[in-house]
This record gives sequence, structure tokens and C-alpha cells, in this order.
Amino acid sequence: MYGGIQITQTGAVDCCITARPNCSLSRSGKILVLASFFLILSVTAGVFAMMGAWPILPFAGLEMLAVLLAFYQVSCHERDYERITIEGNTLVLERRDNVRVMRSEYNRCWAQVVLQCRSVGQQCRVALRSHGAEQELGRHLNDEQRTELAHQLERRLGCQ
Amino acid sequence: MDATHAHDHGHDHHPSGLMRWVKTTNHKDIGTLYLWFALIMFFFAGSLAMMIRAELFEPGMQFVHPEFFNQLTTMHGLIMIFGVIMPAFTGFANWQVPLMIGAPDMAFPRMNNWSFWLLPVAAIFLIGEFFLPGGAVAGGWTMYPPLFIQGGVSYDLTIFAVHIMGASSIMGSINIITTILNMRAPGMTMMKMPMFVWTWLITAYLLIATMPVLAGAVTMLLTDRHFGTHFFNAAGGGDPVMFQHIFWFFGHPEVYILILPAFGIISQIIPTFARKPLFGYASMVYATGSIAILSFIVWGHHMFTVGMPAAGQLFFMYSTMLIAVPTGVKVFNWVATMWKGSMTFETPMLFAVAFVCLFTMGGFSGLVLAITPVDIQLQDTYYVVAHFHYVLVSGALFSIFAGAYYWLPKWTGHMYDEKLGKLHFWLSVISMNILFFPMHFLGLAGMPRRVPDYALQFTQFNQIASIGGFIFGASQLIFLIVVLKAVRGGAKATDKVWEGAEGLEWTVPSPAPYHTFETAPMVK
Repeated sequence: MYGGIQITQTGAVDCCITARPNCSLSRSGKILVLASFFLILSVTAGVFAMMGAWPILPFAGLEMLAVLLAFYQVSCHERDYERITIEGNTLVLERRDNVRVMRSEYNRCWAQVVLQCRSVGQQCRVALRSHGAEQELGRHLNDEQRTELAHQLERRLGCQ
Repeated sequence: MDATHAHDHGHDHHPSGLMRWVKTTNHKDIGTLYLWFALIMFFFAGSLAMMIRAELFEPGMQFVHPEFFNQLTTMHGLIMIFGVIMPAFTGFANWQVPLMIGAPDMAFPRMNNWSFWLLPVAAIFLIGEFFLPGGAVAGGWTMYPPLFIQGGVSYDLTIFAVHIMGASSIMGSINIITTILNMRAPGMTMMKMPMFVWTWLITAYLLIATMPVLAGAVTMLLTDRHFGTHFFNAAGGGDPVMFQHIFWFFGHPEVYILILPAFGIISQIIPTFARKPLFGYASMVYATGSIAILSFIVWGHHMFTVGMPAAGQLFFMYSTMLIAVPTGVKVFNWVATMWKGSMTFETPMLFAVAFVCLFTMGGFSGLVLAITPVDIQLQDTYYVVAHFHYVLVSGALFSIFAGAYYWLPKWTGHMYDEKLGKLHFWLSVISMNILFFPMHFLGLAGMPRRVPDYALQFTQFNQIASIGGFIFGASQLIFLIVVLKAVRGGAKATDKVWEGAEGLEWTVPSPAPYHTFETAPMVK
């Protein structure tokens, strides 16, 4: 699943910007990988068990469990997202981190977007600043996308 | 409203002191730990080999007792395989895989730390055996029963050490697979991955498929030793040959676990110094996959003399010969990459070219051994020793040297001493051939392996081999000096150290910053 920014325009300035992480392995790819492991391990351990070498079975089972846990842990964060919704004078920042969903509201007139780069277009950081506090945005994005996110927000923030 | 643009936010947080290394979860630190561990173990296992060659310099018993000689050969094999080659490649994987795929770190950094720190524990068990009553294990690295069922406490420690190293390998493999599959930068499709990443992905697959088999095998040895089971104990109705089937079902893919990452390193180096893209990238990927699949159906060629039916012997003979096809494809592609290339011969390239030539020789002697009637004659002779040392020394070890020289400037930020590097290469390549080539003749003449004494007619070839061995051993000190010199200082390395180098690792500064690709690069 390729992450990035998705912008849905709902009005002149009203919009919904969603940023998702990049996951290079698709759901079908994941199933294929796990199935191949399961097949190889179960056939190997099964054949040896039939020959009388049954202690291989629990080790194969344990390993399969470890692989499943690893992939589960990775997939827990696949549906993470950052969503910025601008409606009228309200900006809502919604973040999903595994099962936790955090939501914070800002006044569009007072919120500022901050873009800091170590060098031009390189190692950029985007944050939303309001009431002296900063919230970092775009954890899942690369430099190009962070810069784009900053520009998109710049155009939409502040009182019209 | 304008966005605020500023520069130089934050800084490279870089923990220091001893605890940095103990608690580190950074893939570069862990890679460095693996590589140093492998180097230390290399000198230890190498010194065991020096003792072996010293004893074999002349017929008769000079320096060690026969029992201790068997401990030397066993421990040399175990440590070189599980303590040197595998950790060194894992070190390369830790350092390079995240850099090559544009990931900030491994998928499971804490597990990564854990998988490294299991290794010194296992190494302490193995080395500590020398100080136990009865000494270290002397039953051969293959751990065959009944010898392994009858030994003393050091045999239990070996079983424990193998378990621990297996657990470490499994954790490392799961980490590498999840990292490669899930954390590639946007745009880096599977068929855009560097060959080193591909070979490690397939190697990790092999490890995951075979490690439970080894774990089960050594567990059965343990229960046969202490819990009254008779899996392999013929006295109780067990079958010692079943152990050999189980062991080699792990052991033969293990051979490819030791060589596939080497293929990957060589596939990175040759295009760089030939200044041409790798010839037949897709066929290289498919060949690697084919070798991995075939490695599961050839284990019987290690057991031609156990009393196998003719049909079984034929099957294993033909399937073993079949492996030469994808391997040949790879060798052809390396040569084709060099063909009409704008080649220069810096130390990594010298080692890579030596690898192609000498690994091919090792492959050909393997092809000779694949022929069942020939193998029945050569089984357990020095011909076999020559074959697998050509594959593992001029193959795996030379690729490790090649990779170390290739990426050392990226790791340390300093260029290594090219003169010393070349000296290391020439001494190694010449002495390696002096050491192992005569072993072909010794084997053909019938000298058995794993013996501390031999008949008079084998004296000259053994003396030549021993002289080569001493030179080879001493040459490796040059490598240590080169590494230490590069770590301490030297000419500043640029980001793209080599003119023909391609790939994401060359887009980051040298030395690679503590944290890289915190924002994913875009692969075009």
C-alpha cells in the first residue's frame, strides 16, 4: 500500500487532508509470504514427524508463531493515519496510532504551519503551531510530501 | 500566511560510552557489533586452524594429542560457520539493508539487539569448553551420533550453544524479512531492490525454513543423552542415519545460507568497478531463488556412503548437478557485467574477481563430488576439505573482505589504506591457493580428513599446505591493521565513495549518520 497525501476538497477552503504511511507489502503479498512459510514449515516438520523425529514440530510451530507475531505487529500500524479536516473556522487534527485515535481542535484563524528544513527541501519537519504549542505533522511522509502538505495548509490557514 | 522556513533544526542524537553498545537498537551499531564479533571469532577459529596445520606439517604426533586435534577440527568448523561467516553476513545485512532500501532502521530494533547479544553468550559456551574436564567437543561439526551421544559435558554445552545461535539466527531472519518486505521506500519495487537485499531476503527464508530442523535434531541428541530416548541410539532401536538425514536437511541449505549473501555482495561490487549495470538482473534474482529451492532437495549427496538405494543416489546426484545451472547463470552474468566494462581494480574488485574465479573452482570440485561413484571414493578425504574451503574461504570469506573494503569508507568516513589492502589481497589469494590446492591431490591420493597423523607419502603436500596456511593466517593481521587504520582516521571519504557506485547507501554522507532516512527517499 503506497502512502502519501490524499486531499479531498469540500469547499473553497474546506477540505480533508489525509496522510498515510507507506507499506511496501500489499495485503495479498503478506498472505502469500505467510502461506509460503506455513507450507514449508508444516511440510518439513510433518514429514520428519512421520519419520519419528517429532521434536521438530514444536520448534516449527514456535517459529511460525514468531513470524505471525512479527507480521501482526507490523500490520498493526498499517492503518495509521493523520487527518486534517478544515471546516469553516475549525481545524481538526486526527491521528491514529495502532488502535489509539487522538483528536485535537484548532482555530483556523490562529493556527500556523511551520516548515523547517536542514537544507533546501531536505530533512524537512512540518508542524502546526497554535497557542505557543507545536504539533508535528507528516510523520509518514517524505520530504517532498511534507513540503507539499505545508504549502497546502499555508493556503488554507488564517482568516479569509 | 507564510510558512516559516528555518534550517538546522534538531541534531544527530548519538549516545556514547559502553552502554551505547550494550543497549543500542540502532542498526548501524548492531551491524558494527556483529562485524567485530565475527572478526574476533575469525582470529580465534583461525588460530585453531594454525594449530591443525602445525600438527600436520609432518607425519607423526608433534604438538597435540589426537583427541585434542579432533577438538581443534570440530571447534574450527563450528566457530567458523556459526561464529564468523554467519555473523559477518548478518553484520552486513544490519548495516546495509536499511540503507539500501531507504528504511530508517530494522523493523524490530530491540529484537535486533537481542539477536546480537545472544551470540557472545553462545561463543563463551563454545570457547569455554576447552577448559572443561575432557576438553571441547571432538565429534565433528556435524555432531553425528553415536559419538555425540557418548561425549562429556562439553557436548551438552555445544547443543546449548547451537540452540542459542539458532534462536539468534531466527530472530535476525524474521527481522530482515519484515524489514525488506514492509519498509522499502516508496517506488522501490521488489525488482528494483539491490541484489544484496534480494540475496539476504532469500537467505532469511532459508534460515527460517531450516533452523527448526536443526533445533529439533540437537534437542533429540540431548534427550538421547539424558532422558533415555532412542531417536538415534541404535542400542535402543534408534536410527543414527536418520540424524544424518535431519542434519543435512538443515546442513545443505546452510551451505547456501553461507554463500548467497556472498553472491549479493559480489553483485554489488562488480557493477561498481566495471562501471556498468549488473548484466541480467532479473535472471540473477531467479537464479538465486532457484538455488535456494534446489538446496532443499540435495541433502542426500552428503550421505552417498550410508547405504542408500541406487534410485536415491541417482536422484541426489542429478539434483546436485542441477544446481550448477543457476550457479553458472550467476557466474556468466558476473563475467558479462565485466565484459567491455571500464574496469579498475581497487581492493574490493580484486577480491570480487578472485571470488568469481576461485568460487567457480570450488563449484567444479563440488560437481566432481556430486557424481556418486566418485564421491564414494572421495568421501571423507582431503578432496572434500579442499572443495568446501574453496567455496567458503575464497567464496564466503573473500566476499566478506570485498564487502568490508567496499563499504568501510561509508562506515568509518575514511578511506582505507589501498596499498595495505592490495597487499592483504595478494598474500591472501596466493597463500589460500598454496594452502588448499594441494589438498585436492591429497584427497585423490586417499588421505582421510580429521586425522592428526598420516602416511609418509602425504608429507610434501601437507607441508606445502601448512606453509600456505601460516602465510594466510599471518596475512589476516594486515586486514586488522587496515580496519583499525580506517576507524582511527585517514583520507576523508566522499558520500559516493566509488565512481561507479549506484544505490541509496551512496546518497547519505560518509560516515553514514547515526539516523538515516527518517524521511523516506523517493526511488525513481
